[in-house]
Amino acid sequence: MLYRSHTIFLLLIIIAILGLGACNYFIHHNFRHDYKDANELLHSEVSNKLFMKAHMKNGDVFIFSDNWKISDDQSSISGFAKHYDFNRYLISENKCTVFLDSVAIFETNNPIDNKDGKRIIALSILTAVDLPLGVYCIFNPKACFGSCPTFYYGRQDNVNYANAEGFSSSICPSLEDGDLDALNNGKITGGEFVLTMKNEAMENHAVNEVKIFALPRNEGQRIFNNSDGKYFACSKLTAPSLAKVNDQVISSRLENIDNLEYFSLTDSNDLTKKETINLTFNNPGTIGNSGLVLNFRQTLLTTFLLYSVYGYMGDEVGDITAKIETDKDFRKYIQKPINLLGGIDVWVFNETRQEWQFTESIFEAGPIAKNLQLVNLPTEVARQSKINVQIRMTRGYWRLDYTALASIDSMVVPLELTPYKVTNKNITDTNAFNNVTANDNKYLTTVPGDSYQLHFRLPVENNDYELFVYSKGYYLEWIRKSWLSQKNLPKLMGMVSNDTAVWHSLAKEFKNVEWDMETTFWSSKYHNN
Amino acid sequence: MKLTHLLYLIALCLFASCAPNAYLAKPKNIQNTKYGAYVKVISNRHHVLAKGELIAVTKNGILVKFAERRPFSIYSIGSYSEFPIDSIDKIKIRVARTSDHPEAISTWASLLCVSTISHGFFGLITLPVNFYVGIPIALDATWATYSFTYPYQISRSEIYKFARFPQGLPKNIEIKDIR
Repeated sequence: MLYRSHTIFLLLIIIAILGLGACNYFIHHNFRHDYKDANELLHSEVSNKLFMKAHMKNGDVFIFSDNWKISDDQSSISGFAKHYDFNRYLISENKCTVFLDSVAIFETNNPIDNKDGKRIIALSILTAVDLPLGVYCIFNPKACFGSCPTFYYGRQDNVNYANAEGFSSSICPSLEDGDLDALNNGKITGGEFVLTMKNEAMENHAVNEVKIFALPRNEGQRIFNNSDGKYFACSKLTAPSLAKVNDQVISSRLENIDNLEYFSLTDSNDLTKKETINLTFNNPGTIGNSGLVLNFRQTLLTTFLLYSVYGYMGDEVGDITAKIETDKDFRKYIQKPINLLGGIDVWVFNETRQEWQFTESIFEAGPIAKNLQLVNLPTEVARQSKINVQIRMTRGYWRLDYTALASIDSMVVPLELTPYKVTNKNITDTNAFNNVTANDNKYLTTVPGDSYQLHFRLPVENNDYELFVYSKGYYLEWIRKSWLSQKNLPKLMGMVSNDTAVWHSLAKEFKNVEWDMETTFWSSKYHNN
Repeated sequence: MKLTHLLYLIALCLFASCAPNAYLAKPKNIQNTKYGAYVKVISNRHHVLAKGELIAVTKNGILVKFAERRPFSIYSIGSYSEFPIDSIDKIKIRVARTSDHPEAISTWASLLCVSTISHGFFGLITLPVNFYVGIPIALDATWATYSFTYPYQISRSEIYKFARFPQGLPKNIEIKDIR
């Protein structure tokens, strides 16, 4: 993977250079004029031009640059000139007179336009983007740095294409937790599956365990997990007939697993303000059990809030973290904002009872990789000829990529696979292997830039599997120097105690950076949509 | 972004600041150029015979002072060659650069690339964008030239205008004395 990545990168550079090698601009040769005698020169309009060259019979050249003139008797030319010998060494630079009978050829050149205009415009546009962003990041480093342990399979290893994101909520040892993510993989071929795990943030990751859950699937079948960690084989997926937020139709954003997502911006006064997405499934055709499949992730609001917390801790971040580690009640207390913002709440309309029925709230932290999950719907609702679903969630907190009604065939049990080998830069790393293969007190500690390949053997070589990655561990954010100056313990306490005034000010602060954060960070991924 | 990738980019940025065509005049100085055009001579067998300054057009061909000599050039006399026109398939004649400020533009583009380091995870987007926009601009400003090709865009009878000695090699000058 590493070798291929370098090769592609170098190839792109070479292609760019080769492309430019041919980058020459045609110019018609008649920009240069020459005159073999003074008479020709006199009868041209050359006298209107400032510059003129006199190529002498002996190979010297005089370059007249200003107010030159031909004498009345047409025997000489005089003016300010630079005189070069045949090797083009400068002999003199002053007012001089050249006799025409010693001149072989006169030469003039029309001015040539440079091509700098377009270059300067392009660089100005880049600068207009880069400079404010650079200044913004210097003064708001919390908004610009950080992610979580990221997992990749296949060729992509850029964070924009992360297939999974591990234990994003586990910001200290006491909050260590497991995290299950669907890899949403295509057809698997071959007996080996390689998963790349990277640390791409200014964080230390302590990875306790990584394993794969593999579920054999038939052609056309998909398998999804729900929030209880149960797996369901589904054979039919139906996109909503209509998806609306208020009066805005968003069906096209939710009908496929792609890069076209629905997301809203936060309320400028209230970060907890909710919104409701109405999904209508006409004639869903579900008979038995069914579920709502959601592909989602968080916006960058989480990142902003987390870094705000660290900033407000200032130089007491160590003390406060120690308190989180040792004081269970405090640990629970500081997690209150998570409840304030909430998860993605799924409601269905029960036609028998004629009321909206709460089904489940799902939550998965992290703004990088999307989470594909199933919400089981009540059986009696599944039999309805029309199913109405409401998704209620905090505005600007979630990105929804896909929703569909799934017809559940059966509950299935996964095969649990642990890595048989871990490599680092193509070299087997026994130490890393020993640290990530079991849920124990041994951790693989990674620093920014680290990348490990975890090799799994699939049970049957030619079978196709739906794969899920389970990772367990925690991470420690690097505290940036600039954060220390933002220490504000009262605001920190107001934040974690859900103080209305503090959250109002946070809403204002986030509003100032929200649009730039969201659009800039994800624009490269969405440009085709 | 891997560290090695970043090093490639920085190296390329610095590379882009070089000026291989410094020999050619900038557009604003075209009136003051004292040398012949930079030519690339291609043989009938499609070999690059020479690259260098066009010194003069002679009775039978062209006289070139090498900037870079090819081993299969059989016409060499020291660092000069007179190429019979019949042996030439084409001559690429470069007369000027296309930028008046190549150093400033390439430095500007290079700094934009490097500045993306400060963009945090936004750099994942801004670095490639700056790279794929900025570096070609820097290279274009540095390397691109105004040119035309014999025999398609200029006839044999007009090539002399772009020689150091458009009047032909003066009788008093020995080829070996030309610097």
